[in-house]
Amino acid sequence: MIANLATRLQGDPLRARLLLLIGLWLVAIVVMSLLSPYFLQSSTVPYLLQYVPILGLLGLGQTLVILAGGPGIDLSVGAIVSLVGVCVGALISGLGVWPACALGIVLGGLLGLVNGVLVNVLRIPSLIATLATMFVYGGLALASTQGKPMGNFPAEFAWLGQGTTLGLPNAFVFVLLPDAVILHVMLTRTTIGRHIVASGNDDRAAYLSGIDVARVRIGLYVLSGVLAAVGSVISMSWFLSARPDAGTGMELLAVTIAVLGGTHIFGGTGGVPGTIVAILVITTLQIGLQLANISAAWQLGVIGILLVASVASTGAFKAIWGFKR
Amino acid sequence: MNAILKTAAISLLAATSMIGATQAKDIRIAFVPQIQGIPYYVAMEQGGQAAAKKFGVTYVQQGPTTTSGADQLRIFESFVNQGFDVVAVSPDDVESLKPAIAAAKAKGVHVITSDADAAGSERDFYVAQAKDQDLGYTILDEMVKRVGEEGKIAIISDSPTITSLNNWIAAIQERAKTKYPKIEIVSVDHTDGTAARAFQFATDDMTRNPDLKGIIGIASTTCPGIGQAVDAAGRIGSIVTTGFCSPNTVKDYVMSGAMTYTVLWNPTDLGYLTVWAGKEVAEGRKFGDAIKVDGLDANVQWLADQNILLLGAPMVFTKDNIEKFNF
Amino acid sequence: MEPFLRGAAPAAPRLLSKDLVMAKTNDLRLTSLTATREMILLCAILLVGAAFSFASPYFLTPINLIQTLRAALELAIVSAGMTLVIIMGGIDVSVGGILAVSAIVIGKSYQAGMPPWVVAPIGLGTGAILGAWNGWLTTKFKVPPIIATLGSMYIFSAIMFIVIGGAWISGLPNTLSPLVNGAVFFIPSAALVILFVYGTCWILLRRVPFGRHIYGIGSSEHSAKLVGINVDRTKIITYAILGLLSGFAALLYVARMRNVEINIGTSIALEAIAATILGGTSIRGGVGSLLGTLLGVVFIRIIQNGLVLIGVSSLWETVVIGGLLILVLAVDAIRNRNNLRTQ
Repeated sequence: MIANLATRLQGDPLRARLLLLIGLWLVAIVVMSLLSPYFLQSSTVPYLLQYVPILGLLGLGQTLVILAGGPGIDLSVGAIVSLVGVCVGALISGLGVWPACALGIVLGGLLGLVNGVLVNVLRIPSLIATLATMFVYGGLALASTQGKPMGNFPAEFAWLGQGTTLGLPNAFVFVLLPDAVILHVMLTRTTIGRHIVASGNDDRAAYLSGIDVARVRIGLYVLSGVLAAVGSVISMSWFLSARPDAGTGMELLAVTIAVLGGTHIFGGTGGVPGTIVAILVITTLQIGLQLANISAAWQLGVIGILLVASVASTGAFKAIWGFKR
Repeated sequence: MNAILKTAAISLLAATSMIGATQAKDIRIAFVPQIQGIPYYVAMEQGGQAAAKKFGVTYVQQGPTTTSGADQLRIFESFVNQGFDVVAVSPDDVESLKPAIAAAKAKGVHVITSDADAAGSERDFYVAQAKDQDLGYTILDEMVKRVGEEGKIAIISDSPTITSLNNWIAAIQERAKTKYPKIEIVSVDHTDGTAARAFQFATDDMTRNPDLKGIIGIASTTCPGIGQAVDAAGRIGSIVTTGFCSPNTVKDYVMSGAMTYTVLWNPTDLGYLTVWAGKEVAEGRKFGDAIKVDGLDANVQWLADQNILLLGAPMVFTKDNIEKFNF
Repeated sequence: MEPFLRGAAPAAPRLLSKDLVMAKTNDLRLTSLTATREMILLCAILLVGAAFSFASPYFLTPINLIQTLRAALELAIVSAGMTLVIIMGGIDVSVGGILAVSAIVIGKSYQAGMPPWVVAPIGLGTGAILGAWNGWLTTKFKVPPIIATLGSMYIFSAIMFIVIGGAWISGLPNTLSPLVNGAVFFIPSAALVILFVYGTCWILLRRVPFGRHIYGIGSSEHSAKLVGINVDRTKIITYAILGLLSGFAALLYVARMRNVEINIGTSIALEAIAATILGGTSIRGGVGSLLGTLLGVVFIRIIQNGLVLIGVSSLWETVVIGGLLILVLAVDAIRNRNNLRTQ
């Protein structure tokens, strides 16, 4: 039976990674509950899930960008979160909260479009292009506010980021889950999804079969920007303030989640379920270790080891399978 | 194999339940500093642990690895979820914590702020080393005492998103505007927390204003950089530098004159006071006019109208007295 | 494993092994690819410098320029190593962590009373070992460099926090500070150190077979392997060199600041990458210029220095640097649109 399972898994690395991650998550839950008596209590679930939506959205955007190949990466997502937040914060007094957020999401798309054009029209390598836009967007957010957060958000706005439905955070239930489902369906069941995977697998072949690879990739950068903007809205709703450093550091975590979730850094392999379970694993580890009062420094180390081990094992895995064949 | 696993599982369960059992008796106090890993908060932790030992409570201190409001929030909520009786916090960003403080209060957890306040939140009270205003005023007054009422001064701070630092800067600027109109604050720069950046800014500030009379370092992270910069530029004695620095970090510079004086308070005392105050509030006692803290020499005051427990006036460290302190 | 960024979009051919042969016969071939970028950077520096000296009388003073040079020292040293790694087709975002851990080891060694000539090799060795670890992850475990070094960054960060335990290491001896702050016959020693490091790297890259191997692997790893280059060993050594240089930078940092704090090295990785790419090194590998990198470092530091001197808030720095990076890359890309050679 194990041999059967193994043979089936061999053909589908994504499914293998998903099972591995789910297994890892279960192990993590067991270990965390042993480390701290406070882990297995009802308050842990909303506590934990509170931290999932924003990073989850960024991770999903990153998964798609990396998936489409190129190689693609978007290091500016954290900065987009900050900049969109600052702009929305500035617009609230004039426009009201929800129109301002809508404009913010449009802005996120535009910022993503800049990335897309730089990478796919001007052919600037994505690492460097998005690094540069990260500098620009992040700097604009900090410089225009001199570091000070903007308040003035109406109390009802907190519903999205702070409220719960049936014990689960609203942002998780009403934003992350639907978005994840939509993106998963798009990726696996629609034509555009197949185009994305094809572009990632072999962009030359995709181009020759008529797929406008550049357009697909630009679209995904725009999507990544939009998802970052939605994350920014959730963040503002959570804290009832627009912080100019809201997204700092999130881009690397987003890449970590995407890669942990099984997305191959050169594209062609990757998926939504893997990313979602990956962020659950990471958040569980972080929260669990925190509840056991193990310092944030150790948490960083665990994440690093996990990241390297997950990618290393693919290599080692392949070597072993290759050997056995 | 099975037997080994069973024994392991049982002993693990026993251990965790033992921990659970001991925790039921103690009062548990937690503190979330602005960041982990700087001497200032290590000193606070020493004071906190000393008080914990003396009063028989449990004290845990955990801070984020960056001055990020979101990271700090996670740690704060973790303490609330662990059922700590009192959670003290020195907020990086006040807004991020407000909803969490309200939620914690609703759960019956006492929330106090220490070292930096969360104005406008539902915290029980603020354990202050000195009032933000007094700190800003004192450091500028001492500067003016040494450079005169006229001249150029530069300010170097840490991340622009830290509320407490911005409060001190605002107090300094306000003091300058109202009391010393001829003092010109030429620049306010923000480092990334490294000594090298503070060094760079201090050096460039001195270059840009050859008649610069003083430099104020707002965060303890800027101090070594400023001291080194004055030393490297050969300006010892011709410029007055200061900061909110812990004596140990700047002792060499104060003795050599690269730093003229520093303003601080005793963070060990602050940590001690925080734990004592936590215990008082956990046991339901209120503060009266006369505060007597067992084991602490300071003249602690209770400002009822603002809900502030004040450690005392800021302390000025100079060449004359810095050798006496070890934190 | 392929370098992080493989080949271009469909139509562009890659630098093939024949270029390795051409590299042997005609050194200038490879420089000319970056010569234009170096010229552009030099002009940009002169332009920006002129603008700053108009706006502030203090900019063009010897003392200011020397101080800026000294501030650029660590970045310059790390960027030299980064250039080697990127030319080879890799990348390393964990250099900040390597610098931090090396600095801690150096600090603790000083505290334990060891003299500088013992501490220095220890610091350099720590850096080299950490760099080799990155190289090992990339080769033996086939982890893509961006992922491997990202993971290492987290791990080194954790090590740093746990070892430093909250107490900064202060009051360290500045015995080595003459290397930074001194002068030999009016030439600032910082300049000499930079010349030494860059000179050595240049010899490594251009006059020794090892350098050819680096270019070869960066151009086409597959071809390099076929030509008989020991790819794994070269990679590990190159990453180790970057680590060693980071350790050297840590040594000088400690000498200059006499302090080791937790935030040490946070921004240096991205700054080094920015400087290297600004200087004409291609992130795809196979093409690079040490001179360009040095100019890139100088450019970044001059902007930081100039902005303070003219009174612009330091928070605008990253906007300026990012904007310039985009400008340079965009101009390059537009110019090369019809050029089939990958750049």
